[in-house]
Amino acid sequence: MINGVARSEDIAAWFACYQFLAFEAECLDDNRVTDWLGLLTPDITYDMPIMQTQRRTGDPIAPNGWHMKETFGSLESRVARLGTNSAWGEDPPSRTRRLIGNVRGGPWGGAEFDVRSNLLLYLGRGDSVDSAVLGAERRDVLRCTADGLRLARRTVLLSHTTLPVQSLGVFL
Amino acid sequence: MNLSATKNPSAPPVMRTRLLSPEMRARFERLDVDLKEGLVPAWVFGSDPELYALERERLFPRVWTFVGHESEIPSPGDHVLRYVGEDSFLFIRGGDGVIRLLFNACRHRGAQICAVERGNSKGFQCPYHGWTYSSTGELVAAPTQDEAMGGLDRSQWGLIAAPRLERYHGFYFACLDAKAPSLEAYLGHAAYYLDIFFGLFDDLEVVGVPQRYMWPTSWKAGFDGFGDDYHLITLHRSLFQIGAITIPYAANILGHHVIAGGGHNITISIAPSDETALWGYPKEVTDRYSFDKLDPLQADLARRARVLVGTIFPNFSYLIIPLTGTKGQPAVAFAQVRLWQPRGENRMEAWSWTLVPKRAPASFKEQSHLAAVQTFGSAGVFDQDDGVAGGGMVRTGTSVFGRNMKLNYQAGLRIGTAAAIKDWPGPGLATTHRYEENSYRYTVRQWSRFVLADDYPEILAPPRVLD
Repeated sequence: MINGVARSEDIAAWFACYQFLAFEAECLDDNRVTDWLGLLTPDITYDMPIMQTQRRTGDPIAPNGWHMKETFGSLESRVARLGTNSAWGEDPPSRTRRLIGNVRGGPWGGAEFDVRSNLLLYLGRGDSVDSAVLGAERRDVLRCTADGLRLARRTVLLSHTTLPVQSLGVFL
Repeated sequence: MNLSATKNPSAPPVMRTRLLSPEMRARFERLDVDLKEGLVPAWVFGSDPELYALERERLFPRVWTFVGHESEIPSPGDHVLRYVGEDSFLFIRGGDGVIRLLFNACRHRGAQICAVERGNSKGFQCPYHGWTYSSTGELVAAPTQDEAMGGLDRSQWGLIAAPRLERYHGFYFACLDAKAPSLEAYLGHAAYYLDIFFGLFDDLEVVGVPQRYMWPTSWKAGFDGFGDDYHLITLHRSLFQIGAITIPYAANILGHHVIAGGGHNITISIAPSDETALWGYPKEVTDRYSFDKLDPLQADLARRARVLVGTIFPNFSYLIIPLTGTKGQPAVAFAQVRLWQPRGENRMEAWSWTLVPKRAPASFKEQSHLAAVQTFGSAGVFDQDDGVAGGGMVRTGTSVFGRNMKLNYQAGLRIGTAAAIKDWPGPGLATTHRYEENSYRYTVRQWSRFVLADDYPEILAPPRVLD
């Protein structure tokens, strides 16, 4: 809220969204991916467009180019894969730590909230000291349901053109 | 192979990468003997600085490198940033409609004239002193033209084009060595088999833009997997378990590897003769194509092809396959091509393009694109596991203890049931099924010829018998 006084109901909604995002990150960092699936609505769309180097006046979001473009069904299949005994790319799993901040958005009334957040994802693998940090802005729609907030849409805008990892086996 | 020709004691220090160390010389002297036995020493896949210097100087400038598809730059002025080896180029359709590959370096001081990955421009101004080039690469202006640059013959100072740029069914390949054979000659017999898809599907277009993702490993980690079918049953077992791949294990073995010469690999999964597969593309898509341009063998292979995959030597891979990212949903056919771009001895950048038939219904194009994104590529469920295997090969090939270890590439030579087909009606040497590893021995042999030759190396003909 710029140039204004935050209303307490707005603060409550904002805090609920922040709590949701933090809990979601905890599920993913703890490899509780089935719990994570439970935080998604059945009609979720989860998109990660390819970003490209452009001049300031250009649009870095590539037209119709994607690293990920997922539905609930495809996310469920990714989670099912992680549950098999041969998901070698994530078994042993990556060690991740998600830092979420700059949670903003609104308006904070209604049944859905447009919420933007920044994500820094630390990623380490194996016994190597090498690690990667992925940066992204996430543009989410959080929906109020009888069970609480659920993620109904996510667009991940990476701070990378060329991905610094050989494959994305984790969720952002 | 002339190893002694690289000895040049008077060469200046900068040329020393062209010398083989005694250790490297000893390794290469054993290589052909090992290859004949179905053995590949692990160091071939290692990230040795000396070996990479040889590849950088001798392999990548001399081979034909994929730089882009014409559908990526449909309009005059369209350009994308591409690399040959580690060198930066603009793949551009000029204002005159002609497609060129221009070195991304100003002729004045060598600063890069284009920083964006994709765009449409009438021209490019170098940020350093402002030399300005047209979309066809001509030098058109320089600031203070009279005071600083009076007398400059602009016609002599245009952007430098790659010495060779040639086209195969809309795919453009470049070569930095003017002495190289034509792309057609370089592809050789491989084109006969690529034509069953890339020739038949005459309206392919790139959808979106390529994914780019960095592997902390040698470029050779990419090249082993595309052309090996044996690894599906273990490395990619999870994809069978979740139903992403619907071709059963036993059916997937059926078909052929073709050793086409030139180090190129082709592998085709073939359905029984009474079945029409066409990679799983629906009839509404395939009905638009004319089989007249294929000969009877090609037409039969295309009709029964479940999967077409392989590598054009050394780092361009292709894959046509039906898969699904969602359990229980039918598999959808897609086409993808890859470039395994070297980024130093210890880094490889993977580039992945998805192609769809332009005339196909929009709904099919979208489904095909989605199947590709969800299963293969930067976040694809297949690629996630490939990194594990490729990374290990490179680490072993770089290790002190293991780099001279002999790896077993004997399937179809000393072990297993795959054999060369006698009287195969097509070009090259075809094998009786797809669990065999001879193809890679010929790839490694071709690779060694490039790395060792001072002059342009021999492009190896396909073997008549497995040797």
